[in-house]
Amino acid sequence: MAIVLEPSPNSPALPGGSIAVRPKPAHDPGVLRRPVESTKGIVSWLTTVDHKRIGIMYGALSLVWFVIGGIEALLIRLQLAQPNGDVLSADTYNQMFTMHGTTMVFLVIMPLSSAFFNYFLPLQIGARDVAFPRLNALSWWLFVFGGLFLYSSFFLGGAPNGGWFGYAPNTSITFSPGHNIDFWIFGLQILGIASTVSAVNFIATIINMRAPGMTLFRMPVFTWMTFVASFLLLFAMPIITVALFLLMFDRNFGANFFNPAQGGDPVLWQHLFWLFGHPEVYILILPAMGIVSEVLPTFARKPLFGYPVVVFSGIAIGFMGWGVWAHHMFAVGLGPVATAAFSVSTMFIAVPTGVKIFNWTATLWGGAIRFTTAMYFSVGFITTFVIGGLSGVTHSVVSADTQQTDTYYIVAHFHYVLFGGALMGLFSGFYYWWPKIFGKMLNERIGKLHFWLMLIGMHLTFGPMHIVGLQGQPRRMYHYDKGMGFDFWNMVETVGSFIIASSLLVFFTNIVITARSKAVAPADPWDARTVEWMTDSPPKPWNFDVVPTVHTVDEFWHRKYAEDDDGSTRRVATAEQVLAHDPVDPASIHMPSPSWWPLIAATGFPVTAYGVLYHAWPLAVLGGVGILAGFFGWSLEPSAAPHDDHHDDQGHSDDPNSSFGELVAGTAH
Amino acid sequence: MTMNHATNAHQEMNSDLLMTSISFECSADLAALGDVDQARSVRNFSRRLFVPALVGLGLLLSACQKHPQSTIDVEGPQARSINSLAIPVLLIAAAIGVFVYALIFFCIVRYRRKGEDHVPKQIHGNTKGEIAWTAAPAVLLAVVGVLSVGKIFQIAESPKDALDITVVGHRWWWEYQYPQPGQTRMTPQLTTGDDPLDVDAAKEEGREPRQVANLIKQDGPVVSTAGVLHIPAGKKVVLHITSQDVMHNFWVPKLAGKIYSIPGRINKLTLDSDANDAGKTIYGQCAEFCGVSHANMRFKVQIDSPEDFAKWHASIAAPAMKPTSELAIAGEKLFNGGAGCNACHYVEPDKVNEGAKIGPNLTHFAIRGWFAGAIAENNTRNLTAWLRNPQAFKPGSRMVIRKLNDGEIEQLVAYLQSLKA
Repeated sequence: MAIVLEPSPNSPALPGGSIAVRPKPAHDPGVLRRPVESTKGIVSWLTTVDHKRIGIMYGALSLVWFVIGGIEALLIRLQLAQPNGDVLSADTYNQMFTMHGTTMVFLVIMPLSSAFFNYFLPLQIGARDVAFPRLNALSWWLFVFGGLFLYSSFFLGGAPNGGWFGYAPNTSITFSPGHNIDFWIFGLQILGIASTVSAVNFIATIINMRAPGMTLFRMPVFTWMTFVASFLLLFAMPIITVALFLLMFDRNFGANFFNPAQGGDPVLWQHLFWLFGHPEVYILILPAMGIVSEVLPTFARKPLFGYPVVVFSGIAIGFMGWGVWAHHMFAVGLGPVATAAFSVSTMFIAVPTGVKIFNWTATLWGGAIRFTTAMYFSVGFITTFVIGGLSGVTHSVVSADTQQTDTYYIVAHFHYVLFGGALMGLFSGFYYWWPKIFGKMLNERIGKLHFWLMLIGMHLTFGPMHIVGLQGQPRRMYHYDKGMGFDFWNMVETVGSFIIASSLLVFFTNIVITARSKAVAPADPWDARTVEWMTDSPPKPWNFDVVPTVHTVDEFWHRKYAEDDDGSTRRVATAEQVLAHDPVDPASIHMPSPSWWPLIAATGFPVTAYGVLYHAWPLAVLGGVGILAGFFGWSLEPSAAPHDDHHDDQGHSDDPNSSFGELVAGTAH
Repeated sequence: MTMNHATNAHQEMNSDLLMTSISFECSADLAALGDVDQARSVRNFSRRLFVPALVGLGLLLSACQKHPQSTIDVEGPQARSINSLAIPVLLIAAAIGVFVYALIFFCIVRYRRKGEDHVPKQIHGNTKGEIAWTAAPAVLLAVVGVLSVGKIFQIAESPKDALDITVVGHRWWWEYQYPQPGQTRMTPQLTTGDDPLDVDAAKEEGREPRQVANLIKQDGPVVSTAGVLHIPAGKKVVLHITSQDVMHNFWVPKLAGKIYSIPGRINKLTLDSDANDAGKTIYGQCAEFCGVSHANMRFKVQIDSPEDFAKWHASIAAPAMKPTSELAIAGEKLFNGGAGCNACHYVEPDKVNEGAKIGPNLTHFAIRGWFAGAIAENNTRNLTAWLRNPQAFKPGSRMVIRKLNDGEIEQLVAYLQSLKA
């Protein structure tokens, strides 16, 4: 269902592709009346379909998982700080590294990117919401339940312990007889549905709901990268879904897809996993690249250098990302021809990545750089990502990779890419967009402290891993012996990891201080360039009083500055002047009403999963019925809340400043 | 033609870089460090002192430490050949890193905003620049690509005159099957047959045993040992690597790259060493996560002089001597009776690990330097601790024994220490 607009004399132009539907008379099944839009109370959060509130919840929960995944990392580092560490038992250690990887990929970086997609994608393209708001709520609740399901394993016999990659046949019922791996399978399946559904939603939104005049090549780069990452998700998630189903059948129903004794092939699992897994890497990094591509031009006060080239290199990465998966398998023995092909394709995916880096650098060149915290994190992103990218090239050389793979050199590589890269980019997004989301600026001084601690901690933790990796320290080992020469750098890494942890404490302190402060952010604190800044901060539930008509990339900038042919500029309007418009009657804009059904449908999934996991078939059926009932109610639901339930003092009159900021402040008091 | 050319170029490069890699031996840390250090030190002025101090301390400490699994300070021709390409690529990557860092730092130092009204010239792009920085990395990578592909085929070549050894991965130890003394070739194959684990149950229940597809079939009798792989110095060895349970990964960093040990497949890996490597003990480690005691799946490669190797090979093919001491004789009785060790372990040289015999062949246990996945030196203290509680010694170990008293343990240790030719 698209945005519902009630035709009215002063209604603004329809965003492209929305469907105008006159709300039908109230007719909803039983107790689950479709609630009236509201921004107050717990029910409003449970039933919300507002992309901004869903985005905020995604962000908040991802940060919680980030803390948990971080604690797992600290335990790993404590265990490895010294030779023959005995902080954790062997099995607990294996659970920790499995859950650390799984958490950081599926419960932190992906949903954190999703938080930004949710919040900013509609705003950047001048839409009032995503194409399918209730589907968006379903994604969110599946993310909630998928994560909780996965972590319930800790209380139900032990967490997954087969690695985030879950190689067969180690994950078979013969070699992993507990339920650990089953929790992993079903948890990822639930999270996979959430990701696939959001990918469809974002793609449909980008294709259909852009503001008038916003052609594809006038879209902000963050939107472009969201677009590419969503296609990657759409095609990658089904692969892991299939692989997990095969593994589930092997484990639960005596199938033999990966069982060599019965003629199955465990290498098949690796192909399937990495055919998902490598595009997944780009799913993790592209959103951060998009954020950086927004932040650098803003603070350099220059357009992104080679916008079409940056976009096309993103698309190229999206395509080439499908042809490099076997570089995770160079030691498997695929034969020289196959490894040679994947070696070469892996080298060439470095080209579009390098092009991006050069274009970012060229954006800085000749700019007027203002060093805000957001800019610190973006430059931090580039500098660490360069190291991660270059070490990546060193393992495209197959013979070298057979020495490097499964050592800490690889751990160093992907933490430079995913921590120094993806997470730094996402933190840049936090500092850049915080005033947009909450109407308050994160403290810059504390922010810079956060940045330096995180950067130093990052290099101390992951830098030495290059060294110990080349000195032969393998990954995934719960201890190493004295006399291997790994002691010193492992201790340094552990110290570094605690510096990272302290940087996060600084970040959370910053959030609390900001939430408690009364200072309100200006409308355009950074002299920004793109459409999401052409409305209030935080935006009203309907985003834009007047949907802007777009004439160019960097629409907001071009309304503030006139540019001559020689590239020189002069200011023609202030942000306030650009944002000024005739008052609009909020009653003329109808947003989709909240709904209970996404939450109800999502609840069925973990119930079914527990049922199948414990072979408790009635429970599985019950969950299935819940899912069906959810979708049934969903499809029969009227398009808006019953008319009688609307009161004049409700509707759109709430203060959008409330919500998350208030929640945080509340806990702080 | 092209490939030949590339391979020749390699060989030249090899000899050139031989020197480089030797000079790397003691400065392994320096090489890797330089990369990281540059990245770091230029970043933060306040760390100008901190980083060099740290690096200095690190070097000092590292210099005193040995790195028995180093991939930089290597021993054999194969590992050196890998480094002849890997290290130049690493250095080129570091140089590019320095270049990009210089660019970025120039920008952030030079182009600061001068006041609120400072709006720079709006430059949207530059086609020539884009072409240049697309083409330059592409050309560079094409060169590296050609060299990489050449190296892949060079390493994949199977030597003609080599000693074959079959390597079988088990949770969490390695089994080695050698040809009979005097012979060098083996052609292990995978075959379908009765599941050894199901044979007894099937007989009891009067049905056909379950069929499995990943049984190892050898041409003739072999000699089975575990933990320590002996190879003759200066001679090429071809390992035929497979697994009987999960995936493992056979890795001897100082001699060669990794290769997976995969149930249902046989991978080949060439190991070689220099003639003057005789007497060296090289560290190895399973590199693919294979379950709870993955970290304890280690091994050693013992490089023997050709004479020593022949002697060793002959000795492990002979039956073990009968124990003579009273303790050891009692231990043997316990081994084959009260303690039930023989349910899982053979003490006959040509019996391979199969079926219910899930433990390593112990025929010449006493001459092995290490045991229990090569995590412990083979001495009385370690053996005693192991027999007292295998799972405490090595988490997840499949060695299940009843609780033994001190006297029984003493007898078993005496017997195990008598097992040699």
